[in-house]
Amino acid sequence: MELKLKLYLQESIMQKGHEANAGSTILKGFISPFDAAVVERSSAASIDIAGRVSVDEFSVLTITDDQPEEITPAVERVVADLSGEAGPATAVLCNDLFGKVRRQAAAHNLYYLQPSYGTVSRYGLIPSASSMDQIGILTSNLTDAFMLLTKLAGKDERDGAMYPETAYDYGINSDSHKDKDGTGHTPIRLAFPSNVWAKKADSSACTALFTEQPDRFDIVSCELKYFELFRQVLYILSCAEICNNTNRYDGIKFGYRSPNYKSIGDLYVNSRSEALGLDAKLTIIMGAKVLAQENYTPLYEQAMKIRRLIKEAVNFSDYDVIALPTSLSGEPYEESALHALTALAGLPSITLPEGGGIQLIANSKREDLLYRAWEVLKV
Amino acid sequence: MNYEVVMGLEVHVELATESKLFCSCSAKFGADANENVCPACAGMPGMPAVTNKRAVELGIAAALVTNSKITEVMSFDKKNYFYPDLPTGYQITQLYAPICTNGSVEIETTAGKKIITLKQIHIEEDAGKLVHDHRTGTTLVDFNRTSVPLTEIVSNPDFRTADEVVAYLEKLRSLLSFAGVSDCKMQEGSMRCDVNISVREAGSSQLGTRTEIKNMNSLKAIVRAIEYESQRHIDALSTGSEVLVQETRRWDDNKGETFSMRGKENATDYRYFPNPELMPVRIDAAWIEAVRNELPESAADKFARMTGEMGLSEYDSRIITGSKNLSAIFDETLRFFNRPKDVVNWINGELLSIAGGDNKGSDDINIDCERFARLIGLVDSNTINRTIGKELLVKVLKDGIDPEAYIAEHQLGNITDTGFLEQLADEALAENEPSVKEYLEGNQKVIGFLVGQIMRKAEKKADPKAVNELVQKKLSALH
Ligand SMILES: [Zn+2]
Repeated sequence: MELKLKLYLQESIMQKGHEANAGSTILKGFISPFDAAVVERSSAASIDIAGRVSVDEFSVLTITDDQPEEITPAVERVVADLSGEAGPATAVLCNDLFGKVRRQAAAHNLYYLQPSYGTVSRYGLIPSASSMDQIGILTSNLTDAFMLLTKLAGKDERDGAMYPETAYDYGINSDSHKDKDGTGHTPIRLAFPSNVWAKKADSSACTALFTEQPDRFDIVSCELKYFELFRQVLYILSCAEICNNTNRYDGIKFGYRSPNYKSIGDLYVNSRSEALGLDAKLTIIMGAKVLAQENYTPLYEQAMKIRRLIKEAVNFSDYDVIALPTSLSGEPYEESALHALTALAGLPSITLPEGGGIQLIANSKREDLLYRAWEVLKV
Repeated sequence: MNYEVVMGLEVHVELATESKLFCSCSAKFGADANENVCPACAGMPGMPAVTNKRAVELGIAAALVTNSKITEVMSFDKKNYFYPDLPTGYQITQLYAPICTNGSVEIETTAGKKIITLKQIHIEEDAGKLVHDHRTGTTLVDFNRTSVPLTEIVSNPDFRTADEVVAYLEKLRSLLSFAGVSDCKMQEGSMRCDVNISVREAGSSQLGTRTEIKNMNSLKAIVRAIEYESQRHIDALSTGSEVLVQETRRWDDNKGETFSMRGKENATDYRYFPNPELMPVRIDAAWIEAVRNELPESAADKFARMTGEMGLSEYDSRIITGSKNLSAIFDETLRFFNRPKDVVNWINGELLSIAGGDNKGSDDINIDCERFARLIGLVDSNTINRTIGKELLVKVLKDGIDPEAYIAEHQLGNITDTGFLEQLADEALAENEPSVKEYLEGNQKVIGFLVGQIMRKAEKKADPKAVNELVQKKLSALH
């Protein structure tokens, strides 16, 4: 079936001949020398790129701004298209490291599909935190997003961190999944981690979505272990990786070079000082600190260990899907914890506006369960 | 007081892969500046690193020939520093789980045999090259070398003399070049080393202050640098002339001394951390066996085979197995002319003297072995004589001529008309009556002179053996 979409790219995704600046002055005027894998695959599926939308500098966490959070350009784009003439749904390919796009998506009645780490090639994605970077889909139509993902996902030899499967269909084409009354399906075991939901003032709207359909969902109780450490682990590891990945912006071969230098040291310091934003600088300094010899063991290595514990603690033999809220307090750093599990454990998720905002997280490469859940919910 | 010099070596060897370690650019030496560059190895964002499997295989081969313990799951780390020859701002290397550890290499010096133990071998990427233009005062960067795969072989501080260091480097070169791991050419920079050196009182178990001489790429310079640096340490310890500090030094070959690299290089925190974009590489027993089965013959095995079943002399076999390239020429030529003794004589005699006359090392000889074999065959069958054969070898080596075609074109073949040869012999004998008389008086030596005269008349195009027989026949008829 032909898929019609208005497809946009965040500025961190390469599109040959177009500027790809990852939201940074340091990459102003940097023209993509090639197409990202997702661009190649989109065009192979006859989906044109409708345009590009700007992005927070290297997708870093915005924490220096005291102002109320502004709407991100990706969300703004989809909202604008929705209010315009009727036509195909809009989708934006994003790298939503800290969950900002997902939080806002739910608040603006939009959807987000985050694929399993290692299923969509990052060839052509300007890296932020390589072990967590993941191209996801912000959209007004989640069913179309799943369709799009079947076109984008699959092994690419040019990305060294991918699963071997060359294609995925998420059960979209399987007849049983089109079966709306659920015969032949055991209910999806859905876990509401009590330690997380307890923080939410009123979660009844969310749970009601599922308890109304007892033959389709089994509500399972569980605890999300280490949840109180999620944001720190995410922050420590991502800062380190972003710090390292931005070393390349040194003013030598490409990107911004300060006119003010007499020595190579000046050239580095001034180019980076003049062209990187405050949040990016803070992230880089934090990352350098975390990786410094004296901090490596107590901070970086410790965070790596906890990351492993977090992964191991998510036990998909007791449940199929974990349900988490998309927002709690509205404070970005605190809320990044809600979106840390997908980043730290490389898990797929869907974010829905229904019930005031909910995200469903499945085991790696089990997007089919998310699709099934969505098929039930959308009716 | 007696002092003991203690040294450890870090040897960098370029892996003989077709392509770079994390992208598909060519890793070949000698291209024009920035010819072998893509966005990835130029440090641009957006191309994830992908490990070159062949580089890992060559690393496994290096582990096997150095009796090292191969790491089951090896991984890569990132080493952060800023320098214009490093476009990504980090070097991908191995710190936490290198490809192998605990190896050993047996060396032999005039003092006898000794085992040098290895701490580890790891794989890493090379950096680019800075070219300073003094005329314009600018510095240009050549990225051809960035991300070319290297292994670093780190020994324990087992060396006591420069002799041992040289023997070790030669042994490593033999082991690694025969295993196909690297061509180990010091002059092209595909093998270079850092020497860690300290001096202590003989008998002490404490190590002295250690200095590191970086980036040495000639055996001669290494020996001189070790002599200089160990003497500097001894002087400092015995006279208190200076206080030794742990530091990195460089060797100035013109001045014949080492000098300190002051400043940053001695105090950098490289902020190593595991490379998050590359999956750890599992090296299972099956993979190791597959590499082992494809390991080419080692120099030692080849030597044993040459002196054993081929019946060649130890002297000749040592020359051939002293160079991977000569060994390859030997093997390849044998495929076309399967007489080891003859082939060895041609290589160790004619070929090396020709190549040496051109100031080329045995590692750089590049010859069409099939033509070389045909040439040997032509001399063997008396189609041409050995003198002309040697002249033709020069042309095969340098111009790549086809021996048969060249012989036909220039009429260099031996005179096969026996009547004509007899005529030349008769002339020679008639022209040199005094020599003939000497022979009749019992002087055998004049035979050689007479053969020479005939060869000259034949413009060298005769088989000296046949001419010799002819002269003997003619002379004995005079009795
Ligand atoms: Zn390249």
